Amino acid sequence: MNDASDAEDRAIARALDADSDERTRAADPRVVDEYREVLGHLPIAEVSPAPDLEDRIVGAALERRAATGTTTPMETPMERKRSRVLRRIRVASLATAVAAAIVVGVILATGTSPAPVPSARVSLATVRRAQIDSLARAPGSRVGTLGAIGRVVLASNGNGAVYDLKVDTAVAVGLVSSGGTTVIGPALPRGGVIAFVVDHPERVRTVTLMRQGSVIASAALSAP
Amino acid sequence: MPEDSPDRIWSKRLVAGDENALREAYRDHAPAVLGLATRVLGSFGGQAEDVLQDVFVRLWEHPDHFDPARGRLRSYLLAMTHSRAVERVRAEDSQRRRLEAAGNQLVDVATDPTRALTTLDSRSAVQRVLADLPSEQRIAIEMAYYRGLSYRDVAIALAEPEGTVRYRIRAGMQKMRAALQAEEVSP
Repeated sequence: MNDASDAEDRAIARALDADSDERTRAADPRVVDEYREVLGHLPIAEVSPAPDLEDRIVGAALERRAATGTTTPMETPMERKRSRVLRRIRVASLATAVAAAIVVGVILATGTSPAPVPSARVSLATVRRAQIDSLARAPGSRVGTLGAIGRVVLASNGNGAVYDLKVDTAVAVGLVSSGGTTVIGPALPRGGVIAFVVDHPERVRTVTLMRQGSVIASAALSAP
Repeated sequence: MPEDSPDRIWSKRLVAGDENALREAYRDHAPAVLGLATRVLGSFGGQAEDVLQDVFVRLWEHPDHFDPARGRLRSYLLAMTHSRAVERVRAEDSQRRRLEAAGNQLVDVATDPTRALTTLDSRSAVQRVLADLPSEQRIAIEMAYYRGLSYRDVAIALAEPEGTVRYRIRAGMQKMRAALQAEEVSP
């Protein structure tokens, strides 16, 4: 075998993990990458992971390296193809006070913001129906109806929840104020509830639900 | 690769610590990663979810290891998956059991559903070339890739000299590489 074939063999063996490290260590990384790209095109019978695996694996990853809090709203593959549109949106991160929070709010603003937008985060606490009723009865609380999808309550102390949700997939919650929209999530409803905390509830005028960047329901807040 | 390519933008988000970038990669590629891990692990398929976790935790932990200029994210993840799965198989399986399994799977490989998929599916030039390879080249490549067998183990399973197996795999892989390169430069 000549040197060229030998070098090619080493690269292929490395891409296939088919030979010992000692024999393939000298393989040209560029050629190995080319053969890995070839193998990446071979057909694979895909297997859908169990639904709870994503959170478990992301949780394990975050234990190794914490997220920065700078997030871009989740995109579908189709939306990623439209990334130029998304880049027109200024995305600024909001620091969250709770390190364990898995989702942080981001501010979406088009143009200059005349007033600061509130910061918000999803609450990880389990919220029972009695607590939601209590929130709604508290002085200064406001409520709204999210079409046929659910309802929302926001108390004057900043505790709020979208509840009675008739969706079982992850949705984002938008808190609309005069300065822009604070987007929390996406998050999976737990028992039909997504609880959240916002630092300036008095600025929030409308609450929206979004899926894959599109508003699916909206509620103007008012006294009960 | 252009500065604003989706993979490059996504990669910057991952390096910056954007959790949603990790979730997007998971949702796009986890089924393929789990599929390959299950396939390579064979009777150790119960460990496929561990491989899935290894791959995505490592992606998050070392985001700079993925260079969009060197290939697609899918290829990078599948290469990592293959290595992790092969490590596990070789650590846990005795050579005798693996070779017995490989022998039993020879027929399976030749009549593999993936083979049918390959002949019917015209998604990529690589898959078309794989389907058209002489069977001795295709089977050797499939045993090495899908079963995670070393050249030596493929040679023993096929009762051929190791040099012959190396030649067949090299010949087949070169044809697929050429097809991919031709496809990438075609309009």
